[in-house]
Amino acid sequence: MHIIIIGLGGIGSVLSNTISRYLNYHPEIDNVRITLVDGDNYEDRNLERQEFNEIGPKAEVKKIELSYLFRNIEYDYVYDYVTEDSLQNLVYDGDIVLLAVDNHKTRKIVSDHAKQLDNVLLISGGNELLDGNVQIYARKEGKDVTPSLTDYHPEIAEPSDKSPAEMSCEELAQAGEVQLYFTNLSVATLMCWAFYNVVFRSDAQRSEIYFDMAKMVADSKARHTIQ
Amino acid sequence: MADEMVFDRDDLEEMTANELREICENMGIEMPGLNRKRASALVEIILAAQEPELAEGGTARAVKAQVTAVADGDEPPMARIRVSCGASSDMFDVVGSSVGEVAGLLQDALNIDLTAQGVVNGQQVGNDHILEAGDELEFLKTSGRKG
Repeated sequence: MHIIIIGLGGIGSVLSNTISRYLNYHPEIDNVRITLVDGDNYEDRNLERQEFNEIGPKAEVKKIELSYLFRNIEYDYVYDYVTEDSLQNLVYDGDIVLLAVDNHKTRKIVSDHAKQLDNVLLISGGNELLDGNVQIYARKEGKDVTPSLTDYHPEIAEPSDKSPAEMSCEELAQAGEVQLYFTNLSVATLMCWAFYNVVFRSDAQRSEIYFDMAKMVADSKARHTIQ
Repeated sequence: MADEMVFDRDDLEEMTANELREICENMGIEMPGLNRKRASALVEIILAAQEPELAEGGTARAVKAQVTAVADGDEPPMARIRVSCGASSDMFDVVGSSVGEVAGLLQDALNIDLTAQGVVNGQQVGNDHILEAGDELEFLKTSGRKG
């Protein structure tokens, strides 16, 4: 099993720990490899909602941290942001992608790449201040089992933002927006729900989960694929 | 109102709940909680009581049985459909309405963006799509961007 976690911010830094713990101690799972991908550095301004043991490149720091904790899993890392080109050598047929980025441009790039693969599972999470959602894009034997990230989301199909790989240093420095740790945690947890249901229960009936902390509700959706 | 009048669904659906309760009273319909029922439920109760085969036979007991069957479920079966937007959802009396009308009607209740795409039973539809009993309507909410 090869899992690629793209984005190690408020969602991904928690999700990588949780998924690792589950798989490391699962009695029937072996040969797990996890690739951690992020071009950003862990800094003082991330302390209030991101989980790292030390300051430095997020992907590398997290790789060292998780390798020490979970000895049954093989880790590697990519200290860079993903692009159309880099995905060609990162995500292959049969892989599982956990996408925890902070922009729609990257969601589109990864979803479009997944559409070119015959078998892939892509779980993507995102949030605003108090609410968020998780999308499940599964392909099996060359066909969509659930809608892609772009099918029901025009804001992802035609993103108005940039990926970090396209941003200048000034833009990257200004890109951080106020977020709540609890909201990030909620997304990470719902991504685990999706991962568990699809991988361990073979259930891909539902393709999206929304939650709203202010209203204290969550709801999942079943939608038709658009071939 | 005269109790011998026969109402069709269109007439009834234009009436207020109080007017419908008055009709029920004139028709001699009695049941627990009648005064608390919503207009859509009262319409179904009146229509059930007017069923010709029951009314012509003059079998008050049969009429009552029919009315009670409608009332037992509190609301007529399938008269309300689930409408959602993001994590918010509820059951609403919108059968027969168009998707566009429902968006306007529930804009505040479900925080619906009026430009949001409607999805009925998992399939994208236009604003002029008419909702039927048993449908499930979703208005698409944009994806969270941050992470």
